[in-house]
Amino acid sequence: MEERASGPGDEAVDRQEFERLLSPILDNLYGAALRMTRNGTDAEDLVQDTVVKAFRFYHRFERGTNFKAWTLRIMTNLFCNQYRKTEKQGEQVDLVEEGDEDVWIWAKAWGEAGNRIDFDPVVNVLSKIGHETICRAIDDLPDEFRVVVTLADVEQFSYEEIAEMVEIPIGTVKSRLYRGRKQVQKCIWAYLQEDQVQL
Amino acid sequence: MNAPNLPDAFTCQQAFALLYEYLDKALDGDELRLVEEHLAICEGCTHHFAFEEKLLDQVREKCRSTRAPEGLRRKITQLLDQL
Repeated sequence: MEERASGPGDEAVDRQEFERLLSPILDNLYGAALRMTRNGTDAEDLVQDTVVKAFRFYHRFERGTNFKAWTLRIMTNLFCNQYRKTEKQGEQVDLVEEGDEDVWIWAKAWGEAGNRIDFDPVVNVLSKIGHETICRAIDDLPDEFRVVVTLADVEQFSYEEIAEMVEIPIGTVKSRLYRGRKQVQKCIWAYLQEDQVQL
Repeated sequence: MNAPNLPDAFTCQQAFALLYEYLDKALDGDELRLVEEHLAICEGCTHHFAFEEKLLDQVREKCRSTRAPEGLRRKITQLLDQL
């Protein structure tokens, strides 16, 4: 497809339009970058690199389609190709297998309930899970699981969208999501115990 | 009649195996119907599915509360000025 060459007036319009689309999603971009990179400095760098690339290729963005998805696809690509570091020492998490069934918070919560007749997992457990605990649990995931969990559970992309963004088959998305989510539950429970949260 | 590899009704285990596809709205056809039919008659699974859905909601809500640092917005404006 022949691309229209942009004229001098186009750049100003493009920039305004681009910033108008970017402004409301900047928190999302930063939040996703923070989950991917696991530290604020790298997250800011990743967002900036993403914005630069997105602006450079803005002429390829199809107006009226999902700008957030398009930008996050660029970010995911940048993260996977440039930002992923080799696994840190001690980061060999004991990742749950598909068949591991003793990691569900639901089961563990009922195990703690004992004879309490007023026990409600939502009130007694869910409400005690804070922002920091959840972020720690996601940040503990290996890169390939963390990216998929972030895209699905923070940004609510579909399996098909994630498959396209990460360039993996849908079956792999489902598998990583399944294991990643179970691992998050395992970590959340461990942190609740570690922090001696009263259920 | 269901697809050949599907039973007439799901057990708790069979329904639970599709938990995330169900919550992610990635199920359709016979599998969706079988899960829904099971939930309609199984209070235990209904409560469990509801808990798992709330847990996912909580993860999303807590992670989405992150705000971009104010300095970042300024840096981006300066970046775009240079391009």
